[in-house]
Amino acid sequence: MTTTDPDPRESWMNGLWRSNPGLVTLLGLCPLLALSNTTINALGLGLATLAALTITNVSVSLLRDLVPTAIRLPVHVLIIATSVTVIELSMQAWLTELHAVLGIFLPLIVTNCLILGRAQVFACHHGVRAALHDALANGTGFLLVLVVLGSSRELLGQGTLLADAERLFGEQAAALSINVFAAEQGLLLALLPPGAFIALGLLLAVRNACLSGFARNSDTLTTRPEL
Amino acid sequence: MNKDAASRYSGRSARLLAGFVAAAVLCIVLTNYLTHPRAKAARERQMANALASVLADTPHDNQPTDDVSAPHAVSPGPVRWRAVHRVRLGGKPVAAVLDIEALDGYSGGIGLLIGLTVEGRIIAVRVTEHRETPGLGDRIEHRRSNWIEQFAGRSLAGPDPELDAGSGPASVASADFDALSGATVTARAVVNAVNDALIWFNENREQVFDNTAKQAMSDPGAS
Repeated sequence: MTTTDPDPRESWMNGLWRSNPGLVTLLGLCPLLALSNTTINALGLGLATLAALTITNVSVSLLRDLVPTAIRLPVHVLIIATSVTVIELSMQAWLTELHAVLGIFLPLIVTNCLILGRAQVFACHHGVRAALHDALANGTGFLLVLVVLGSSRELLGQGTLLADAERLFGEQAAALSINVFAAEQGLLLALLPPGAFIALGLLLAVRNACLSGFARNSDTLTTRPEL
Repeated sequence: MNKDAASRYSGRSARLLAGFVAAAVLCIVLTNYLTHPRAKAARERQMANALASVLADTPHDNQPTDDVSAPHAVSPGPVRWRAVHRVRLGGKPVAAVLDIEALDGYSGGIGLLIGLTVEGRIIAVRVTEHRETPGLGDRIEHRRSNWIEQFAGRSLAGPDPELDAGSGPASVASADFDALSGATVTARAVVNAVNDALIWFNENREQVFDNTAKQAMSDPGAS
């Protein structure tokens, strides 16, 4: 069942750029758009997703020879749901305020297609090391897109960066928050749901512009997502 | 694969799946067991901080977080009652904190904590949770604007007679509040809910502080 494991560098290249879940395969868009209104929300959701993806990929890879094809899907869903619940319970204990802000989007990580996708397509055919690299690469790719979107929307919308940092990093981190300009002068649109779509669209455009710059003399401008 | 082998295969799959389910349940139970005390303490600390913020420095010697009377009557208006925290000094009632939810916000409920003196005068109001529009409706949050401070000192009876009659805060009616531009519905929902809560409190004050009527719930945060 196991195919040859790809080079870790290949995994990272795919996760961060070539088939970045937030920019190319566009998996998990709902939380990506909903919670990218501030840097701290984005960071919180990104880290929770990264953790869930890592736990899932590693467990799926460890159990890949034990699970028959007939029950593979239910077992994978079960593993995802369990790891997300464990993460949610831990956040409730240690990051109570952030947990309250992320709200329903935390349990909804279970339905993030990114995680089931990586488990089904990659982790159950590859060794633990490769699965770990794949999870970290894709999770980081997703996290980076979230943070870029979150910080640009926060900066445009309310003129701050890392506001409410204490929710994620504890009381002493409150000093991390940067006030660039008064909230009244912010671009309200950036904080509202349409702003999320526009910001993501701009980000996709930037990525495509970079690609077409690289591949001017090649005949394909768009790269096909590599799963 | 013959029939026998097929049924053996599905039997094995079923047992495996059952095993995985059992392992998953065990995992979650264990995590819950390990994190529950901490989560509960965090929730209680949050509640205590929230109560302190609407009681200002009202002197008291009981634990308002634990001294809860379940709301035993419903008030008119679109308000959901969660709890009434009783604040006492030397056994005598001095204040109450009403934990309610205004159901007619612009996008769903708005959780409110209302700190009241026993006479029914507002000490402070704070929003506990809401889903109002960022940048517009979210100015009901104290950390975003001081709009919510307008409630302090008001009561149904109007201005405090001990204050200078001309400058004291007025009654709790929408017309007496500075509007939130772009968030009329939100502001009106908050003001009306507070007004409804005050009417209810004035009518039910005796029962609220009556120890024999309803005993304090032991664990208000558990639900």
